[in-house]
Amino acid sequence: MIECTLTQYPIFIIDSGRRHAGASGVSESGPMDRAAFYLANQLLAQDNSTSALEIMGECSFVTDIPLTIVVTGGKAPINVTTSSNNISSTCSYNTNQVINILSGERLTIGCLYQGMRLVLGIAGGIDVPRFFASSCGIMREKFGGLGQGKPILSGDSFAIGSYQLNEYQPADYQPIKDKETVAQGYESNYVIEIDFVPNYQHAQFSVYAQYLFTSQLMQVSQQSDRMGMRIRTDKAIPSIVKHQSQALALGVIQIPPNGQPIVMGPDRQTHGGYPVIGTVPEYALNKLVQLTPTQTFVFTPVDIEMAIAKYWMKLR
Amino acid sequence: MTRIVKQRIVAQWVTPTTLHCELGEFDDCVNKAMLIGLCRTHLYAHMALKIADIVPGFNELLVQFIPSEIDYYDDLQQVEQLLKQCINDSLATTLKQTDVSLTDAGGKAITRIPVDFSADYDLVDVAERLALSRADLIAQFCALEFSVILNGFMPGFVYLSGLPENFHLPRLATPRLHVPAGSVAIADAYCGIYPQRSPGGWHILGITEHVLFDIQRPTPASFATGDVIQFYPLTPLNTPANTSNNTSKMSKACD
Repeated sequence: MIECTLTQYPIFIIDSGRRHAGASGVSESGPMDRAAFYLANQLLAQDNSTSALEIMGECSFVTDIPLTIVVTGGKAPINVTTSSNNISSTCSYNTNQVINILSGERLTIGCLYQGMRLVLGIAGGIDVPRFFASSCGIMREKFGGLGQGKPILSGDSFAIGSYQLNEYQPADYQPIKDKETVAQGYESNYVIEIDFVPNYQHAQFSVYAQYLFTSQLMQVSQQSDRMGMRIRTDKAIPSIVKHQSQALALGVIQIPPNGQPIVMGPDRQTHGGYPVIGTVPEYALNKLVQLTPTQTFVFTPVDIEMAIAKYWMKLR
Repeated sequence: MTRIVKQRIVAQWVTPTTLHCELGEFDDCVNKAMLIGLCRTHLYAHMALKIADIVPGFNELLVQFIPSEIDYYDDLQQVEQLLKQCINDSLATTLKQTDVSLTDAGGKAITRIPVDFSADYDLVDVAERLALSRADLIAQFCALEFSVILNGFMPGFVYLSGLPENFHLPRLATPRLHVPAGSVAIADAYCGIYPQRSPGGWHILGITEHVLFDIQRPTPASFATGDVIQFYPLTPLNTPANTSNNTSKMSKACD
């Protein structure tokens, strides 16, 4: 068992998301930063749907079994502490580095100094009941996660599944080097560009609204969560009237009547009634969820062919 | 990558893994909920290994593909073709909402759901606005046949079509903070059932004990797109409402 002794924010159990759930009104769920999640499992050479943990702040774990872990996504100090005979020694590690932890040792992850979310990959994954082929849990849905949809909080314990080597790992596979990870570019002086594909009701928005959407600097609000990233802009984007709800894809950008966009995340509701101006493709969403509330960005329109090309380029 | 098939279906990749298929306009007599349900089954039957999820909408299907199985141009064409084929076949066998033979021969059984109309949430108010007596409203409502459009908004919340135009009411001006579980409610052109206690702005007509979503069942949601539902009153129609009983029930439900 692993015990989470202390955590600043709730820790979510994530995997590649639920299958065939939408028709029951159940959210897809899954990781916020999918690239970081896949990277963690690739570095551990296991199936890329193995469950992992999504962490947003300081936390520490004590284990009574030996573990192999890796931390991906943002950047944070990672320490492993061994104590015996009142002497404790601490070893520091980097993100994207595979770490072996012995039983009785303590893993401490400090405050994030880059990005907003970490993925803690564990060899074997987290052993919890699966629903719709997924371990994800959402509080409002009352199932999954640690039970009843609960995330991991201070004092919670959880078990680890059995490790299975992914034999289909390509032989020439090389872990992505630090400078090439998704975290790159956050500290850049240039304006960060978040790609979006204009679709759904984009053509029904006024030219002025379309102009405002792509010409303004935007920021991610602190009220963002796994359901949706709330975006703040200076000038509200004039919305349109839409009467009927519609099925929402991952990353759709809703424009509610107050004119402040919402980018729908993995825990979004299956349907929503606000008009949609476009979708943020997965590779751009990975970048968006790592932006801190003080960073600014602009939405850049790309066509779907370009988005598909970029999606596959980033996946390789 | 947008193509139109006979002015009916517009299939389009909206994200690198999601295909959005909008079904165009149909005659009013076509039961769209049932049509979308058939399309969904048809897609699953032919492309099961490629599909991660199909989310039915009010006038669309959102098809999510397993990334490693995507073949952009071929999949777009195949989905369009399958939908076109399914719609043409279904329309040929007259998919009409009022068609009685559909329920007899079509194999779609009606699920009858008991509703307790004794707790008066909005029943009297709705009856007044529709210029009906309480008993008439219940009788008329229970005579209706509803089709499940989709589960959405929360696990197991069913949107039902088939509400006649004189029943259409706008949502409550101030939504309730707590709508009890099992509330059968109407708003705009839809009827819905709340699977769990939640906030909501629909007009509540009655309460049912029918379980809409149970994660422990093999198929957690009770209803799928295209199913047919009819309500029946749990209490005898002509019994006058006992007011003291009503208030005690209301306070119990609002705890």
